[in-house]
Amino acid sequence: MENQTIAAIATALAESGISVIRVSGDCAVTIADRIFRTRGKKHILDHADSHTIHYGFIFDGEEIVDEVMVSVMRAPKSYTMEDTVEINCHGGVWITNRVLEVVLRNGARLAEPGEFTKRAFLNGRIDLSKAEAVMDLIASDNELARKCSVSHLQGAVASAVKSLREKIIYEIAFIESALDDPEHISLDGYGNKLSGILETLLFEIGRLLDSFGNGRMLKEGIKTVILGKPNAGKSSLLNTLAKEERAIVTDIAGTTRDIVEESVRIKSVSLRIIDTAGIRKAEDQVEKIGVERAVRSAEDADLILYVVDASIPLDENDTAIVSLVAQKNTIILLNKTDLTAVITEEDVSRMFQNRFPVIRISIREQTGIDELEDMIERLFFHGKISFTNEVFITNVRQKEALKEAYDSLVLVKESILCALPEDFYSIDLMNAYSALGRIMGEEVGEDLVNEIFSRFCMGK
Amino acid sequence: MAEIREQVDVCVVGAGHAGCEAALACARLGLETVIFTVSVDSIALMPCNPNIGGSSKGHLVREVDALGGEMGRNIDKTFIQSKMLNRSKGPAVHSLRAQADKADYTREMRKVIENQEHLTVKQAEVCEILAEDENVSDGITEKRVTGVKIFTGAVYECRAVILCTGTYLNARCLCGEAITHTGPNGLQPATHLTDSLKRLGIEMRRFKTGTPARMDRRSLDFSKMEEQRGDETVVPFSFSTDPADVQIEQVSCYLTYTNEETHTIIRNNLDRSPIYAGIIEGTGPRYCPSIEDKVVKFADKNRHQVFIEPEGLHTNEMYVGGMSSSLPEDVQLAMYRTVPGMEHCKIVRNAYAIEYDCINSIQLKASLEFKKIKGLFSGGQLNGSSGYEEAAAQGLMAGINAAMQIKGREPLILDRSDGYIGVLIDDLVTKETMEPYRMMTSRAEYRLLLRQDNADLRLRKKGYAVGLISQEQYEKLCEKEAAIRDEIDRLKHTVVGTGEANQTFLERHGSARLRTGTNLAELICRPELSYEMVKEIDSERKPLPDDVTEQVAIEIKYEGYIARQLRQVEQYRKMEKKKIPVTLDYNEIPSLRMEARQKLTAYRPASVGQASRISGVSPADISVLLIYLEHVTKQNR
Repeated sequence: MENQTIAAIATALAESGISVIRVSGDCAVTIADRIFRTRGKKHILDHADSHTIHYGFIFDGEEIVDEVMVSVMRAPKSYTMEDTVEINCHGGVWITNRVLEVVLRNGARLAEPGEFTKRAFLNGRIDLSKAEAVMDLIASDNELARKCSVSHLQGAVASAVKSLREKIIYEIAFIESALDDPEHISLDGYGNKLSGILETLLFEIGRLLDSFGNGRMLKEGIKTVILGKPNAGKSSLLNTLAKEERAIVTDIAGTTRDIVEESVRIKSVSLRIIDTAGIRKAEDQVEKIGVERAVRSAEDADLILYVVDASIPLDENDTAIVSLVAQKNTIILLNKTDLTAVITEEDVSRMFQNRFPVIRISIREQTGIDELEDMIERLFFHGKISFTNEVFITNVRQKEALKEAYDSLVLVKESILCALPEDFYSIDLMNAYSALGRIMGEEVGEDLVNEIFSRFCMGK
Repeated sequence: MAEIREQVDVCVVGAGHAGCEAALACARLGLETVIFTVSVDSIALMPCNPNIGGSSKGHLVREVDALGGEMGRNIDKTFIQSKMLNRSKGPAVHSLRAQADKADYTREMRKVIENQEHLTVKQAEVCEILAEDENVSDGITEKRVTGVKIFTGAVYECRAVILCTGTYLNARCLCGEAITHTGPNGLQPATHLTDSLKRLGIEMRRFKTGTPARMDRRSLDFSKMEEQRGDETVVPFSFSTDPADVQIEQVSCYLTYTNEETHTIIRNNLDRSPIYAGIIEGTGPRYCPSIEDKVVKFADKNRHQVFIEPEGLHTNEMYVGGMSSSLPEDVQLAMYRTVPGMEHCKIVRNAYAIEYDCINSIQLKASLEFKKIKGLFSGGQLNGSSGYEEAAAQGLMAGINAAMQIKGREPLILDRSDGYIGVLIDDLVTKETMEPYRMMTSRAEYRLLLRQDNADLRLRKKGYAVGLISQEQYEKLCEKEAAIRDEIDRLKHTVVGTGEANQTFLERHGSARLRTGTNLAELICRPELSYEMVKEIDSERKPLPDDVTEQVAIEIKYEGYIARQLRQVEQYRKMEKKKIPVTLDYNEIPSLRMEARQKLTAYRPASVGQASRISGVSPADISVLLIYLEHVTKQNR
């Protein structure tokens, strides 16, 4: 069990030139050999030497999936110290997923987030000092384990899963207490009642699953946050980049009070652009919440677009933003350059110790936008900004957990249909409950350790 | 005065249901054992309800029997009515309950104890546990038990002591304002041992429990109650009892109900209840509540069940199940007399509550040995449990493990997926119980696997390995296992064709016609069919013993559920298998939160699984622990 062969996409899942699928474990080479053939249709990998690279094709049965380069690294001279194969295929979400799928179907299982690193650790590649760093990380924030598994699942989805779990545990508790105290708690007609509840639960989980499917939840891409003072033109920028009207734009400062999010393709890079409420000392409660959210989303952004209104002077609100973006990849956009400018590029650049590029734009005149798009692409390909491959996997895991919960609840329905006694219901209800718990990081176990490794080893 | 000094292997303190099992286990494993009791006449006394078993408790009795304990055999010899409860529910919650002839039960157990080789009965109050500091390795000492001292001053030197003091430690009985310092049934309490235990550094608690009144049967009108008869065919408790031997003539119990009038009397007199008046400081069991508690807790219920059960064949005393109380005598009489059929009742013994000292059971290892005192074991109500069956189960395990230790063998630890005994002990030693612990079906996570019908298949081999199950019994079990396996195999490979005879059979039972051939096992899985029913189209079926066909029927019918539950067990065992070294210094793991460090240091869990069940230890703490342990293991390899 310990030495199962695992596979995952090791590169960022975006429209890039090349993607890498990494396979590690005892059967890594055998699995690769099964699906890889040279131009001459030969299987050659099984006997390939360590640290060699091979050109050929990935086959799904007799169908060619992609033209690839495959490198073979034999134990212990690999990252995980196990036999490792890396398949370099053509980039693109669809092709990459297809290749991964073929690998999985031929005997590998999907790696848990951070599992490559975990193996590297267990196989002695990483020393105790690093392990201690992991532990300190956990200790520094007791909630971290939970957070790292829900980081991609915030807000509405997390609370939906939580409420599903609560509903399920309530039914489990009811059955259990009725079994223990039949005198006071009756199960008469309970099957029917539970059927109704299951319908609702299944509907809700089904909806979550659908949202995974059509990608509404799977908002992959570089998390890009637009920041700036009120009325600097943040929402207009989003609309420009998205090439459609997404955010409400007015001349009134503070119009955007919550977060508006949009997936946008810029050249070959996928971005998740988040528009935020303007940063200022807010007076009214609603706006205040908006500002807090803006600050929070900036904290875990991969890229920040800081929009500065060139027609009004810098003030204390700008200073607040400086500290917020200090540790981030930031592009400063000097907007409203069509109006009379009171601040210059130098002014702004100096404020950030000249660490970030400044681009002059006018959203109204649509100038400087091309330059911005070029800049983003350049940053991405120079590796300045990236996101973790776990984004995808975590979501697959979450999807699998949701699916498991769904299937378990279907089994409960079957039990009711087959008129099985009530005590049978709790077996599958419990399974559904734990599966949902895995999404929330509330199930104790090895899963959690894996989550922590995934957190520790972002990007590996 | 010359002081008596005797040397034995094991001293068992107390001869209730825990003490009897503990003493018998040790003696049967060849160890010289003395069992102490304050009264030889009260060996295996049933001071409360006159029955053995019941929901989930029946499971415990069967497990005790599977491991080689005595309780199952003793109730089979002395029952006067028997019922399999919850027959309308799934096999996981079927549970056997038998009414005992109390006097007979005590007499028969006494006979077994008195005739057991290597076992001596001694009527005496044990006043002191003797222990000394033992050098383990340089500078490190450990307490080790050396013997016991009784009231007369006599000393019994031994290698292990098993405490099974039940409800006798500093016992106090309360019947309203009338308080007596006695053990159950007016027996002599044990007043010295608590201090001795405290001197050994053991943390004590105070719990309470209660029992209802006993009525003169001649004063009751059964025509106003519902008769509750025993089962047509009685299933014995013990796997060693021949079912033919237990088909006896049974006596009936009776069901009646309290009413609003009863509740009004109780409510009006709550201030005279020692519990509500604050006289009782001990914590009572939530799951075995007194009638006062029920009236307060279920204020919206206008009636509660009352079971009238005979205490034996040779007495007129009837037990009033469901109405235990510590209200004063006059209130008791008034309240009982509002219940239909009890209008003219005469009380033989009043209901009373009893308070007693017990230990905080987290001081014990899963072997039921004190973590800090080698050779000192503890079982039964002293550990904070309630009930005869819970007591017997712990007594047996404490006895086995004391014996294993003396013989230099590994302890027998059952986990939560092995049996209800495993659940019971794990809960006691891991979760701090603040009230008497009662076994319940819901406490067992894997109950479809932990059925009462398969306790022998689950545990007999362990009993055999320990030495309490004979070669003959063991071979019988192996034969049974093989018979079950063969029959299941045969059913899975017996093809059922689409011939007309089969189709008619299916149609007759409202089952869908076959389009292609299948096998018998598949048909049995259909909700409308069963192993019994398909017999008709199963021409090769040979007659098999009932206990074999029962297993076959359950295993095939519920195969999917059993498989899913097995997967849950697999998950659970992963964490149980990750052992924590006893020497682990939690202070060396700075990343653990302070609370977790303290809790883990106090509990010293044996595995990561156990650690995860300790309250106050979070998932993040467990992760830290897992990483630390994995790394340590790696380094040592």
